Amino acid sequence: MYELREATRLYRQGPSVIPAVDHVDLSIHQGEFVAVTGPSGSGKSTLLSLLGGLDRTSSGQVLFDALDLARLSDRELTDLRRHAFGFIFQQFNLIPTLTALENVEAGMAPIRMKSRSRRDAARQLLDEVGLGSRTRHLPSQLSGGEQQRVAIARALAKNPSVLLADEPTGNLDSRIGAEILELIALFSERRGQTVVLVTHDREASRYARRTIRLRDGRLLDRARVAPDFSPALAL
Amino acid sequence: MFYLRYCREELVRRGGRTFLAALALAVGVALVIDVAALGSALHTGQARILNPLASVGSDLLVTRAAQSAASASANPEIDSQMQSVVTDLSKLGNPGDHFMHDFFLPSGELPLPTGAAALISLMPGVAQVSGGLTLQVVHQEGTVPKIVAELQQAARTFTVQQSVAPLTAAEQSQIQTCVQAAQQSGHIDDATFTKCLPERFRSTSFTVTIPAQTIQQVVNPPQTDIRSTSFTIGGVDPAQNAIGIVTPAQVTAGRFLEPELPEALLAEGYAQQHHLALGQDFVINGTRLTVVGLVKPPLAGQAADVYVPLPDLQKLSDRSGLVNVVLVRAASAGDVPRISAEIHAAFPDAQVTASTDIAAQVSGSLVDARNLVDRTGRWLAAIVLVATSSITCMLMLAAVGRRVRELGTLRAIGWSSALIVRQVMGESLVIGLLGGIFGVALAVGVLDAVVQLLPPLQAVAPPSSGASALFGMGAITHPLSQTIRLQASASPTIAGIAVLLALLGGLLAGGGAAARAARLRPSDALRELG
Repeated sequence: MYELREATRLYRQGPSVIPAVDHVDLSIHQGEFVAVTGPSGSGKSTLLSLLGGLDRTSSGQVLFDALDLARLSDRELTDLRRHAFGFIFQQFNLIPTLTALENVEAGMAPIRMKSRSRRDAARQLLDEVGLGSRTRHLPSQLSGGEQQRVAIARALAKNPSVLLADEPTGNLDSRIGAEILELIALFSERRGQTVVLVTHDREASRYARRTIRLRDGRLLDRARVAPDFSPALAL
Repeated sequence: MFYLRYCREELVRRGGRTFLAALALAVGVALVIDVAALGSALHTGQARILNPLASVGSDLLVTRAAQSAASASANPEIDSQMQSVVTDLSKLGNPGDHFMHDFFLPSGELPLPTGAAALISLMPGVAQVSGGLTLQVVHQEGTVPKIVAELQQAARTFTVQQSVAPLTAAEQSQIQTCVQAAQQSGHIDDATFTKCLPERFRSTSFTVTIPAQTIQQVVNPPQTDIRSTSFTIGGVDPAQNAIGIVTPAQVTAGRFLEPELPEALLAEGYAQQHHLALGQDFVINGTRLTVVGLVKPPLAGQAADVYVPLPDLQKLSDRSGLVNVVLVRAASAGDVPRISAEIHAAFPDAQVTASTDIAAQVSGSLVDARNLVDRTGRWLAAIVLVATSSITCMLMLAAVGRRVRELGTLRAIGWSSALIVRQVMGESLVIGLLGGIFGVALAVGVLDAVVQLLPPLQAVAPPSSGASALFGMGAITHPLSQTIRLQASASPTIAGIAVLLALLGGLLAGGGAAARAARLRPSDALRELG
């Protein structure tokens, strides 16, 4: 699914150039649950941005289903994010003026579908994440865990092939964090979705089948390329 | 549709920002509408007031004014007419009788040559001509004074003693000779001696007795209670309603003069000042004229206090066939300059006035207000509109600044830049629309308040010489003024334009914000999360 070849992302900081991701070679298979760990500033979130088509490599390649994301136009990248990638953020990033139901709908809004179908699908997803009775609530009326569940429902709404989660438990206590991780694992397993989970929480990385460690933008693991992988085995 | 719901929720749930942005635009829109409405109302008011010729159905006014009010009395023609004001008390009646008399004086305009109106009416391009006569009337009323006093004088006796000059030497010699002759004749007495004296010594004292008699003496000045008032009078041809020094358009109560009826029209102010009402008689030198209407004379026009039928005035004032003003209506506006030139050529000492000559000489709060609106109001409105649009723009930009994470998230979950721009612009358009609607409502309210609270505006025409120079009543020495209460209302067209301006302002504001949103990179938004 993903093939990273010497993927590098440089940032200019004053007169110096800092490699946030430094010559990373990595393979991620379809249905795989990968945790990316490392200290703050190690390049985890930048790597996630490269995988999600939110940012482009300075050099090297990030191939998704053989497509070099750096060579795609903005429109093509937007299209990929619209259909193939689902994002879950540390701070939930819900639209504060929309209800839980409308936030989930926002994930499907750019996709051509009937308004009623979109609403029904959003309602069902909220049911599935346990918020069937909170659909009309604004984010400010929901707890952190509930907000993250809405964010998961939004990410899953378009049934993406990849879930990209950036510190999804960072703002939650351990119990709620565990529930969220279990929810992500459950849905990704059920739908056969690939999960890339950025975290510096070692407990969180236990939900992953494979953990990749980053430091100063470089992979620390020798096994940069995943071994032969099948979702069935992973489960 | 989801996008509309999102827009609605965004505007409703961020009500404070929406209200502020819409209010800023509303203020600008309201100012534009109100300034335009006030400007239009002031122009309309001024056009109404400053176009007296049009209101009396005329394009040109032909007069023959004296040089100036100050020098008017030096004019021989006026001098001769002014003689009539010298009151001959002996002709008013018997002493003690009540009398009323009206003297007709020239108003400052000399009579036009006989047949002037007829000649002008024959000029090419002249559609209609009407003559008028304006005069100053001095009304005197009171009791006929006793002009001659009778004095009773009793009989008196006067004794006169006279001193005589001393005798001359010749007289002494003559007396001596006479006395000697008498002595020689032996007959000398007092009588003989008296005969010897010179003639002037013969009666040196005498007594005069005056009998009782009655003396008549002219009293100067006579004791009297005569009061003098003056007013201006205008003679108008009742047969010509469309053109004249006053027309039915100026009638504010009652009706216009009917031909061949002894009727009068009074200026509103004159009627109020003298407590005269419709139906009452107005008496001029014994002729009773029924007051049938009140009029509001046009500013700087042939304003008079009393209007009567022209033939009646000519007869009353003993000016049969005379007019001192001719009103001319041209067949088309383009003919006016040529007709004016032809009249000048035909009557070199005539003064031909067009309505454009009037406007420049009228002042007052109405003109000041119009000038203020013309000079500053529109600029102010434009500046405020730009300022309020800028405020709205800043509010929208600030709002987008606060929504970076939100918009970045939308980009991350698959919203294109175009979708986000459309969303932001949509919100701005709605804010612009709200601003426009609020602005119209605000404008109507403020305009209503301004019209209610604004004192009546005044337009003042120059007094006497100036008015004479215009074409008016040289005899009137006070400035002619007319007040007007503004009738301003928001024009639907202007309101529509203002709403469009508000939408444009909203679009501009949204455009800036949308451009910022479009430049937003999702990775930057993600980085903000950290």
